[in-house]
Amino acid sequence: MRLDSEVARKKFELEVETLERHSIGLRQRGCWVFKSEFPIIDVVLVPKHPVQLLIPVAAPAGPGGLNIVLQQNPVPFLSARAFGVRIGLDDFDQRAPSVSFRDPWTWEPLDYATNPNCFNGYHIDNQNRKVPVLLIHPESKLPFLCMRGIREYHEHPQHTGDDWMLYRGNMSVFGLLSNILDACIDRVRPSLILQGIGIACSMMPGE
Amino acid sequence: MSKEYDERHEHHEHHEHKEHHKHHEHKITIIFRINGEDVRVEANPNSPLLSAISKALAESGNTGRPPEEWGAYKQGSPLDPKATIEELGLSDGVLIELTLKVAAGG
Repeated sequence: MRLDSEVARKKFELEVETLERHSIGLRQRGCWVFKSEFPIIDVVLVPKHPVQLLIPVAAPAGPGGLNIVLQQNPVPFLSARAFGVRIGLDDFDQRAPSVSFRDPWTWEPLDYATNPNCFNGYHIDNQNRKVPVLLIHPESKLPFLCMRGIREYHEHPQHTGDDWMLYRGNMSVFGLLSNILDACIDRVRPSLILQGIGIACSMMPGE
Repeated sequence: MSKEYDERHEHHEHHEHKEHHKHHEHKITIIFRINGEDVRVEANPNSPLLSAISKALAESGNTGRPPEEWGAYKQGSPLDPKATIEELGLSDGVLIELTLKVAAGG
């Protein structure tokens, strides 16, 4: 432990209080706080965008020959599966909050090997490009959000120059959840793509 | 010139001055939600959103990072901080969430 446990507990309580104060707004964005027990906060995120069925169709041929475009067909009653996020506040805020993705039924860690494409995350950068932010961590081999404000980012071997201490005064668990909702819920479109006789499932970036 | 003309002219000038004054004085209140805390800021609709963001960050003590590093969102949709409040169509009492940009994906 880097932080006195009483101080860490008090900071944890303040963060939980803020989440409780904004619980209605968080639910409207698809986020339910399931459990908060020092030093863990478990939340369930419920995707809202409908699945889009993408069907390749022939479009008018351009100078290069036949042109295939993907026709978008939303399926309003289907969406992606809900998933859990566990936020660890041990040593907060000497260390950034830890974020891991969980099965909301068992709270076991989700991994891409057994649950490919079950969730994803995108960020819009300064050039308005959609950048994937849900990557595999080199040490845990589990999916992690490569974003500032998250322990797995700041303690990642490639981000040692972007220390948590530069940001900790301006970041909270509420702000962290807003960023996770933005990346993993608002910007993701679950998609089924017809490919020959098969169907590919993908979590594509949205607006 | 007739007395009637003078009175009308004076009335017109007075009205124009009042309208001009009103245009410059009219301000709206923007509620910025920063890390779960609400900060109310008065803003001129003709000024860029960034100036109101700077004011909100200063008033709330969030001065550790420059205002340009914060993202502004209205109901989850990003707002261009360089656009004026009027151009963004923001009305009195609007709620805007500010979060530190995450510069992610590397």
